[in-house]
Amino acid sequence: MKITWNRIVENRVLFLTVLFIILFAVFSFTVKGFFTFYNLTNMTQYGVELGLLALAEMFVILSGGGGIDLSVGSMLTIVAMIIGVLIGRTGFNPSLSILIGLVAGVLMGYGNGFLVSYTKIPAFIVTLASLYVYKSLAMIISVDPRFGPNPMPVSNFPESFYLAGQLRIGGFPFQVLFIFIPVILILQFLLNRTIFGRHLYGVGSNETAAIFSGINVKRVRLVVYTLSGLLSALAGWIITSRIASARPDIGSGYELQAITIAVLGGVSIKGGEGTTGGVVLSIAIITMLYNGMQLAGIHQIWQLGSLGLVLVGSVLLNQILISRRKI
Amino acid sequence: MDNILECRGIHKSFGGVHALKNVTFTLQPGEVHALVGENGAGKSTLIKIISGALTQDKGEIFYAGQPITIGSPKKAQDIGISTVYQEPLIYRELSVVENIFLGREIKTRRGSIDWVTEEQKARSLFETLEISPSFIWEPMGELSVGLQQLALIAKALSYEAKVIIFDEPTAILTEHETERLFEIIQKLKKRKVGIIYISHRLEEIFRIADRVTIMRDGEVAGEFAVGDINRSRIVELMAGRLLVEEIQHAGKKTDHPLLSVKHLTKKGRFYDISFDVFPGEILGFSGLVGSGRTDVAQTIFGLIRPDNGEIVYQDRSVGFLSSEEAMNQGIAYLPEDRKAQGLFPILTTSYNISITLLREISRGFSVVDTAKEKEISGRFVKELTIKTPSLDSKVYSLSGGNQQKVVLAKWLGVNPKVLILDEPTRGIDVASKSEIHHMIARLADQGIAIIIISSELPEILKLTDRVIVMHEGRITGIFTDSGITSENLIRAATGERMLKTETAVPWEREK
Repeated sequence: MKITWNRIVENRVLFLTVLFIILFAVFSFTVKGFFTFYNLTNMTQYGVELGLLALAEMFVILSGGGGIDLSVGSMLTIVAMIIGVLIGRTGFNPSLSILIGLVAGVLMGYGNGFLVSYTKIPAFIVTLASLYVYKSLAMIISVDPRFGPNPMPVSNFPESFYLAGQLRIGGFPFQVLFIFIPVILILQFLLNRTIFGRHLYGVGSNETAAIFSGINVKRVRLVVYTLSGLLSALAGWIITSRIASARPDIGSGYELQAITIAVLGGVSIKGGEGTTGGVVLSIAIITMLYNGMQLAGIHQIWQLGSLGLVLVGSVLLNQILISRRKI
Repeated sequence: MDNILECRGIHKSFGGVHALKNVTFTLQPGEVHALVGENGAGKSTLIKIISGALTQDKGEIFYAGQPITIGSPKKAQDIGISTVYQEPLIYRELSVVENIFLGREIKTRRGSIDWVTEEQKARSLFETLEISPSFIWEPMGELSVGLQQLALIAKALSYEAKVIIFDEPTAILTEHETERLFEIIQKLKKRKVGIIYISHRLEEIFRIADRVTIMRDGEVAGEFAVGDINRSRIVELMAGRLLVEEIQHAGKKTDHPLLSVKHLTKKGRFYDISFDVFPGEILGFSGLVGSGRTDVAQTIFGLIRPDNGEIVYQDRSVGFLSSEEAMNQGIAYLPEDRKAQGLFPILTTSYNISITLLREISRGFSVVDTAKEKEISGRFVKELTIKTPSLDSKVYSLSGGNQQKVVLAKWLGVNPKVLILDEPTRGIDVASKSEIHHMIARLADQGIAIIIISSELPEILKLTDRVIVMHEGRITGIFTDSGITSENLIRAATGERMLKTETAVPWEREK
């Protein structure tokens, strides 16, 4: 019994699985309307956008050296506004607009990555700055000159644009089946089976040893920030389609929640440690927590508080586990 | 005169290995007593015991005639034993005054720091050393190393130090700073401070020391008044008669060098370094830590950009811009600091072994063939007899010797043509050490050119075909065959130029 307990405590994925099952059971028995097919399939859509951002944070934080991306929420917003303005205001081809949005995400991420890798500015400062620059840019894009100089949301999209965020297939949301799950699988493959993934863990866990092993540390870091931009852009597209509106403040506050979920999922803030499985479970737990609380009639204002408590608990646990380990 | 410090019959061992055996050491007030010996002779252990960082297993220490247990560095300092290390231990952001009084600030009656008194005291400390105290409010970090040392000497005096230990104080000083330090040591002598002086520069000992104790293998090999001994006798005693069983191997395969380094210079690190390495040869780099050997190796490996000179590899002039490039060309470098530079401690054994050969075990789109990865790392674990519970065990859980084998495996996998080994057996057990030595000989026999940097003489004597000795960034000796003796190596390592051997540099001979 003791041995199993130790294994659960030391293996993050196992620990989160246990936590997930307990939470699932508690909500199923105590909250009316939780354990229904409709609710269980429907709630998954709410995990997608935050989930993509959390996966982005996972890659960035894994790369070590104080890696963090505070600009994911702003990149999401910019992409949402680019897509919104192109489709909703100028009537541009929706598919091309989405593509342009994704490319914009890649470029913004590349910008962050370039500054972090090739200058000595810490990632925290680079992405804090781009958080504000991108946020401001999103508002500038949103301005509709016909209605004066203020930021404006866009919401008149063609029917076809709602497919990505609102279509159901056998009850399951389109974006979960055709975007989120494939992205998770690709990232999991990238991390565990490719040279890039190996290099990423190496750079994150010991930068000096990575340099001495002939790994191009700068290139690895450049790639993770670029990837973060792409994932944020995907989230920006999906959220616009789901809520049928592109708002210039849509991504505010997402960056910190995304970091929280990544850390909860077992990504060590020092880099080099963390798995896709852990982060995906962490996304599931938080999504379920929000959903269960909402169904139980607990007001939304409690949501972020509960997230904070879960974070402190998880970091505390992380530290206890690290202190047990001899190096 | 009575001794201020006396160590009698000191024993100390670490995990069964004797670091000190029956060491007796005395120090009189106003005397400079030099302590010399090779790496691992026991100097540092003795100093650590005297300065309270370690406690002896057996033996007694008398201080000012009283038996005493030192026990902690703080107590040592309080009773008047201070140590000035090679790299000064300082708080860079704080001023000189703050550094001197750190932890025992002078307070006013209201409990705030009495800056006026602190400044007065600091000034008078420097004035007794006849140093103008103009810099006492500057942050320590902005002073030269020489001034930092002076500040620490002043700090020692503020503790009324009766014994000051200098641990290689001149190693990083300029000539001018060294002269000033010697003057100050003279002043300290006049104040009846006893000084223990450790240095690898033997000529300094004849300038400032009164007595010299030579240590070897944890024992006192001799104690002399400086007037009664000369340099070569000291070297003889340091070297002793090292009994080393040589490991046989075939030696160089051709007379055509695989790698030639010509007049390589990096200012402040090394100057005018020239040598060849041949396939199948084991070339040793001897010398003291900090003599520039590691910098030369890292320059070849593309981690340091030289100011001048040329590296010719496989008949092509190369200048690797990154370790990645050097690695792809068949040059491998096993770094000296296993934990910081060689390993990914929190990752698995198989990860650590395969990290350098991912390209060879991947298919299209850089997808790693995990079956091949397991197979290759499994093969190395078997070949190098790495003791690990499984391929998935985290490397931090392995012993030092096995960790070192993992680092070695990582570099063997890339099938290097030139393998540079920087302190390949530092801090590992005797059995693993011997295994690694035999492995190195086997690799050379396979035709790999091996450069081995080592601070352990037995390792150099045992393995190498040719040895280059460096001292303060320059080559001071090149030895082959019967010329490779511990005495020759020590002479060259302590700064004696011994380049008369005709085996010097081939292209210079041609001229």
